[in-house]
Parts: sequence; structure tokens; C-alpha cells
Amino acid sequence: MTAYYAAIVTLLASLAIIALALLVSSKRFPSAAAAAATSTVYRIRSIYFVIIVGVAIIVLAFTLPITPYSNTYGKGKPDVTVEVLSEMWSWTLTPGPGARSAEGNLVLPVGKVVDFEVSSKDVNHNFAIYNSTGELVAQVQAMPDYTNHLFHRFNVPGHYYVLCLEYCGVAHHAMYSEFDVK
Amino acid sequence: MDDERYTHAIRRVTQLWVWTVPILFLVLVLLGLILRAGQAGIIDTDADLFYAVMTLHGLGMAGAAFVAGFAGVTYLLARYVRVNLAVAWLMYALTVLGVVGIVIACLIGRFGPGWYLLYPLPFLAGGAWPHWALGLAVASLIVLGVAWLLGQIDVFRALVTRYGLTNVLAWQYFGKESTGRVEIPPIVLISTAGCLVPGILTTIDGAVLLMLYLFKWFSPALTLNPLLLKNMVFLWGHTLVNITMYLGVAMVYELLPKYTGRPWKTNAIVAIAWNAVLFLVLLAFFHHLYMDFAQPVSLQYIGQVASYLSAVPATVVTVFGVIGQVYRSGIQWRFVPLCFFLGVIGWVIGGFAAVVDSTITVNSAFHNTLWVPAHFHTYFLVGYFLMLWGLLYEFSGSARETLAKIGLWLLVAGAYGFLFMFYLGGALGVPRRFATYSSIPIASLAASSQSIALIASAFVVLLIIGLLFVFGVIYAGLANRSSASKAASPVH
Repeated sequence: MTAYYAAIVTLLASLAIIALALLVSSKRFPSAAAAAATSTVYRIRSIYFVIIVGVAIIVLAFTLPITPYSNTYGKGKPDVTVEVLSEMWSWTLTPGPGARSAEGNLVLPVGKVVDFEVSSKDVNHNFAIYNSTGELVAQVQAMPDYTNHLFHRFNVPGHYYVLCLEYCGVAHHAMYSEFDVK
Repeated sequence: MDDERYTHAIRRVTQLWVWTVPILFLVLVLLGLILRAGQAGIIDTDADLFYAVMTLHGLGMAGAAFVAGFAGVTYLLARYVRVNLAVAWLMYALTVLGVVGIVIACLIGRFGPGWYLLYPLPFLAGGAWPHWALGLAVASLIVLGVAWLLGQIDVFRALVTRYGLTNVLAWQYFGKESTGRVEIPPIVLISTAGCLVPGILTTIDGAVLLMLYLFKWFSPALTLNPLLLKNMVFLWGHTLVNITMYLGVAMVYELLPKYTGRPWKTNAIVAIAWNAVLFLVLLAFFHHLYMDFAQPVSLQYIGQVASYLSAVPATVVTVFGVIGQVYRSGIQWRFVPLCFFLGVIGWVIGGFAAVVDSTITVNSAFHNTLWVPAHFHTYFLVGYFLMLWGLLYEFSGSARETLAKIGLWLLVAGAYGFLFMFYLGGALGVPRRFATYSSIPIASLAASSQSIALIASAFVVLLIIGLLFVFGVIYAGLANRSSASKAASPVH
């Protein structure tokens, strides 16, 4: 849902910017000397400065603590571990403690915190999880020489897909995998 | 050289840029259309060709935007300072050389690692491009880097020679107003703090990166740190794109007052804002690495804070400055001020979308989806480039206002339609940099991705029609001017 909210906020802001531009450039306001017109503009600018700095601080205060860099679902160990190894142009998902495999497919439990240990054998890839309706659920880069830990809790059972979201060569678009959450 | 001859000489080199840039831009737009049409399934492109075209489109647009803006601002600065003409010509010649090299590497060598050449992909092509194509591309980029570094250093030298180092950064405005204070026009401050200083620093960073690539090309056994190189490439690429935007803003500061009849002077607030930009512009690039969880978390926070704060000077000083220029000015909306005004609107909308995406938690939903090309195409296509077309029209001396405005509105309508499809794709989680969407295993996502690309392609056609009007008018102006000057010159 984050994407939809962010898109709506951007759309509303864009409309507000266009409305402001129409207002500012409107010929309905009589021409005035620069000093008279700019004194109004600069008064509004002072108010705007206070508002924008205030809004920036508030949004930073709310959003910085919810970064995806730590296990925000609860301190301590995750419930499930999955090793994710990428290479041009395939994913290997190996179930660790708490996960299992059924008919060659990874199966993860609902409602448990999963630690995806993501790395790459060759170039940069991006481990992006989509649900079956095509919504992007979570993502992290898969890098050579480093292991990135993506913590995620699946609250909805179903079939999930892994796409690559970092351009990685001629078959980048065809690099995918799948798993189930039951 | 006297002033008149110098002005004539700088005009000649600028004129060559003004002839070159629209054609180059149009070709690059057509490449972009190939990408969207390929994604829509209208045309059939092999994946290796698609990614080579994508690389050429990205490198070409970023480079063309910067170098065109740089040439334009250099021309405007020639009112105040004298740049070295030999360097200006050399910059043009080396740029052509570098562009030819990249075109050969991409179209013949199918070199296609994306504009950012993210290590180690260029060296692990999986057979998609030969070793020589990589070598040629890196060497060509080094040629471009050398050309642009020389150009930037020369303009910086010219400004510092005329005004003094601290004065070009407008530090004299920080204290109390004194009678002996050196006054500088805003374009000097923006060029220095917003473009040249960060530009020179980031070009050096790019040069180090490319030299490492060259070493690796000669000695494949050499291993480099992928995270460090990722930081270096985004410091270079992000900053170059960002300062390009400020080149457009510099044009607006210099030329808009001519149409509003209101002076636009440097003062303490303007000075503080652009000095803040100098630092913020060098720190915001960390937001490209949010999904690299191995990156130190403190740098991720710096990325978000710097990205947010960079919106403050941009809007408080520049946007309100433009409002102060336009509001109740009785301005006649001729083509040039209209381009500038619409350009500022596009810049602010694209900037807002960028700030939204620079929020770490939002980036988890938008990173490498179509939201990313959505925002940077906004502040380029309907932001920076509109400002540039305004400058080119002004330079050409064209007076075909009606045709130019028809072209502009077609261009803007096509561009916003095209951009809206990008944003919609971003909101739906459509991946960027996919040669085809038919490979996506989720049927609903594949179908919506293709439909969005199809509609976007139609809007691109509209935008191209608009561009043809605008460029036709600019070229007609240039041709008239040169035939008039030939007629005025005595024949010996």
C-alpha cells in the first residue's frame, strides 16, 4: 500500500503546484511595482520556510525509525532463515532453519519473521518479492562479496514470485523464481 | 582581443552547440521511443540490442543535457568573464570524439551495461558484448570526462580571476552590507556553488572510477570492491544530473528578469541557499543505495536527510524567486519566459516525486520500478530541457512565436502523458530496465506493464511532433541570422 499512498500524495502535490502556478501567473491580478508585489511574496516565503522545515523534521522523525535495515518485527533471532543466492540469470532459494521444501519449491510459514540472507555469485541483482496479484512486497539488493539480510513477515498465504530489479545483463528480465507461503 | 571580437568568437562556438543539440536530442528521444515501443510489444527488439540502446539513451541524454547546459551557461557568463576560447572549442571536439566512440561501442559492439556501468557487470557480459566494446566505451567516457573537466576548470578560473574565490561563492554577503562589497550576479553564484565546484569534485570521482575500470580492462584478474564502486558511480552520476538541473536554473535567473522587468539580485538568503546546495548536492546520492543493506546505516540516514533538506533552498529561494519575478509583473508570455516558467513547474513536480522516493521506507516500494525514470524524466523533459529550449530560442533570434508555442504545448501535453504512464507504472510496481514484459510470470503485472508502455509510446509520438515545431523554429532563426550576417559582411 505504501506505493499507492506515495503516488496519491505526489499526484495531489503536483495538482497543488499547477494550481499555484496558475494563480501566480494569472492576469486577473493587476500589474504592480516590483517592490509591492515581492513584499507579499517574501512574507509568504517566510511562513513557507517555517512550514517546510517543520514538515521535513516531522516526516523524518516518523520515517527514519522504520527503515528495513533491522529486524523491526521484534528484536532477536528471526523465526525462519532462507539463503538466497543469485547468479546470471537464476535464483537459488535454499531453506534454512524454520523453512521447508515441497516438490522442489520453497515453502515458508505464515506470520513468522523470515530472514532472507541474500548474496550474489557474480554481478549485482535485486531480490524483489511480488505477491500473486503483482504487488511488490519487499526487496533488497543481491551483491557480490556481501550478504544483505532482508527481514519480512508474510501475513497472507499464497504463491509469491521473485523478480530481479537490478539490471544484470541480457536475460535480466527473464530471471525469476517462486515460493509458497502456507 | 577586444570585447566585440570576443563576443563574436564565443557566439560562434555556442552556435555550433545550438545546431548540434536539438538533432542529438531528437535522436536520443527516438531511441527512447524504441525502448518503450519494444516494451509495449509493438516492435520486436532483441534483448542485447534493447539494452545497448538503453545504455546509449541513458549515457547520451545525461551527457547531452550536461554539456548543452554547460555551453549555454558559458555563453551567458561571457557577459561577465572571459573563458578560454581554445578550451571551449576543444570541449566541443572532444565531446564529438567521445560520443562517436560510445555510439560505436553501443550500436556495433552492443555494449549494454546501462548508463551506470555498475561494477562488475561491464566485465561479466555473458557474451553480450566483446572486450573491445568495453574498452572503447571506457576510453570514450574518459575523453568526455577530460573535456568536461577542462571546461569546468577554465570557467571556474575565469570567474575566480574576475571576482575572487570567496566572492564567487558569495561569502561577502554573509556579513553586514559594506560599501566595498563585490556584487555578483546570481548566475555567477549558481554556476560556482551549484555547478562548478561540485561538478569538478564529482568529475574527479568519475575519472578515478573510469581509471579503475581501465586497469581492470587491461588486467582482468584485478578485483575491486563492488559496494565502494557503487558509491563512486552514484556520486558521479547523481551529482552530474543534479548540477545539470542547476545549469537550467542559472539560465532562468539570468534571462527571466529581461521579460519581467524586475531585477534579480544576489542577497544574503540567496548566498546561504546556494552554499547549502553545494554541500547537500554531494550527499544526496546515498539515496541510490538504500536497498544495499550492507551500506553503513548512518550513510542511509544522511542520504534521506540530505535529500529532504535539498528541497529547502531549491524551493525557498528559486521557486519563490520565480514567483517574485512573475507575480503581478504584467509579463507577456512569450515563448522564452513560458519555457522557463513551465520548466520550473516540471522541476518542482519531478523534485517532489524524487523527495518522496528518497524516503527510505517508500524506496522499498519504488526502487528500480518505473517511479525512478518517472521522476527524473519529469525534471529533465518538462523541467531542465524546457529551460534549455528557451535559451536556444533566445539565442537563435527567432520570432516565430505562434509556431513555437504550438510546438511547446504539444510537447508539454505529450510529455506529461508519457510521464503519467511512468508514474502509474511505478505505483503498480512495474520494473524498469526490462527488455520485455512478456517474461514476467505474473499475468496481471505483465499485461498492465505492456499497456502502460503502449500508451506511453503514443504520447512520445505527440511529444516528438511538438519537438519538431520547436526545433524547426530554432533552426529557422539560426539560418536567418547567419544569412543576415553574411549579407551584412562585405565580400572581398
